[in-house]
Amino acid sequence: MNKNDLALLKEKKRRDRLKLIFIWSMLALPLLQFLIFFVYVNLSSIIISFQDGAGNFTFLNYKSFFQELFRGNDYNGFEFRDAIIYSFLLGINDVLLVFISTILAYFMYKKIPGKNFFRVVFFLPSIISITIYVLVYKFMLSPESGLAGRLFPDFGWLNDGTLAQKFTIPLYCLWVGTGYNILILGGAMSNIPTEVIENAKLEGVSRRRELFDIIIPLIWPTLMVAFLGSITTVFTLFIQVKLITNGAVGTRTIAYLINNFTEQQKLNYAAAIGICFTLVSIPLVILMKHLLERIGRKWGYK
Amino acid sequence: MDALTKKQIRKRGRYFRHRAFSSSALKQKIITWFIFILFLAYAISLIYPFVYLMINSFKSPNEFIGGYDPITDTRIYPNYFWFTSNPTIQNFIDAFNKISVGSQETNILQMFLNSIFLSLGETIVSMTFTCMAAYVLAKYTFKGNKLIYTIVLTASFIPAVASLPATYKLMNDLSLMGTYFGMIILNASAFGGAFLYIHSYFKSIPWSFAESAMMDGASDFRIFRQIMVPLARNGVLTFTIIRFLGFWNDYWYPSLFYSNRPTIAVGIAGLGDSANAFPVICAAMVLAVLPVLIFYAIFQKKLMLNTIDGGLK
Repeated sequence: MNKNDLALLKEKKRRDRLKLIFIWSMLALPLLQFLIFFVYVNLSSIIISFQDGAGNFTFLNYKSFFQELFRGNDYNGFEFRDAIIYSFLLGINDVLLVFISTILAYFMYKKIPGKNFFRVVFFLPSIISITIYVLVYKFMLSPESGLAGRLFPDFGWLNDGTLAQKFTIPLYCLWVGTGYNILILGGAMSNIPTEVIENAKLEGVSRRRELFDIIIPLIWPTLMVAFLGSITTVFTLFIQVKLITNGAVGTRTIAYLINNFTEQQKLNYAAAIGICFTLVSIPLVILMKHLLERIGRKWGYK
Repeated sequence: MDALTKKQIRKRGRYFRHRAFSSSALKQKIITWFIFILFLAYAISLIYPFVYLMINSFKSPNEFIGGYDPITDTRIYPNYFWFTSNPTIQNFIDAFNKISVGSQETNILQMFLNSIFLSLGETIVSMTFTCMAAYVLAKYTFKGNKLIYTIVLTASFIPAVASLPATYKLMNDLSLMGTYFGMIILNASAFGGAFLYIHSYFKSIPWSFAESAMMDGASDFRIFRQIMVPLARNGVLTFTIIRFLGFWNDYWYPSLFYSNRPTIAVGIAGLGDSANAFPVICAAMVLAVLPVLIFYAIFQKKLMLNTIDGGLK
């Protein structure tokens, strides 16, 4: 009996040791990748932002960033201030996009003719590379050979420095993003139990109230993710700028500038800018999350 | 539904009166058709560019831009929007043979191979990492489990732009710039996007499946590989497809770290400001889009069922 217990204990210990070896060997590579490409990279961002090209300690990166932020520079004027304003405008555009999509998704949900066809087509921009969609978008805006360019020739869509050029990027985001958002929000709506909607109908609730007082509260978690995504757009939108206007003055975003300085090998300076904007973005995202959660709490989400 | 309060009865009465005496039903019908037309216009705007590409990919360059024909002494009017009367497949042959992307010369087939090798490698490695980490964190209790989980989730909230310069420096220092291996480990992050979903997938599979296998002496790894992953197949497969499409369409990292071997996404972007004739560009884009459309036609149901109707983002 005693001997048997001891053997069992030994066997259990052996098992536990094997289990531990298994756990850590499964985690080793993913964690190593995480440690190098996330932890180390982020620490290194902080460090190199305080260094000059030769690796000596300096505050100059931050100093020149703040100087340019408040006084502008000789080449591009108030480059950073303009980029911040434009980035926030694009973020607002994205919030608007979510609003529009919610209303349109409601009609999709309410059974529109040709629903399946629309679903398949609206998903296309998520499947096909952004570079292809951007290029055809530019073809469409071309003043001679593009349809939109032909229809509105006076806009001068792609000319540098025009107001129309500033609109090309938000317009593109609306064009490509609406379909996807309609699908995601419509999908969330279709998960609402039908009894809820039927009951509302019996109560004689109008369509507008059905959308704003019943459906929106019920899909709030999905909407929250969509709105939070819009806010991060402010700090991450870059590819559209690079591909549509190639970073023409007046259409630059925060992420574009960081990417641009990185490509120009001004890594220390780019890192300092990145750190500054991260320090702004994290509290902003947390604040927005808090606000959205507070609205949700009113409707009974924890 | 049996005991209606007075208030409810009154409300219902109002609803039926409302239906009977107002033109509200007609109004709703008009709104529905208005939205239908709006949707249709939007759908056409999403499809039309590809029709435009198709139409123009069969034209000779002269026909597209127009010009002067010295032999017949006539002016050729440019034909931007309509079908050509004498189609040619020369553009497709050119796209297969040689097109310039920025300052490099390549061809559509080469770009394809680059895209396939890169996206396949990235998808396989990163999905394997995700499954390994998610499985262990979901199914085993050990010291540090909670800590790792919390850190990893918090980390995914920080946007990647700020760390770009440091990533660039790291890739340079390790001389991984422009290498296949470098691209793969850079993108092998286990904890982005799908991690949470795969984690909850594994969590929802009962452990009793594993217990009976353990009685038979199966090792932990065999249980993972031969029981758990197949059981989570649906979720894993969906995210594999989504991730593959993500890598296939990615422009940012390949343009920075792999520009020496342009993928489809990077190459097409470079076509915009290249010296190729416009119909050749169109042909190259048609060739780039076609496989994706075929892929979409095959997997459309599965893809949409799991991404959209599941209500995740």
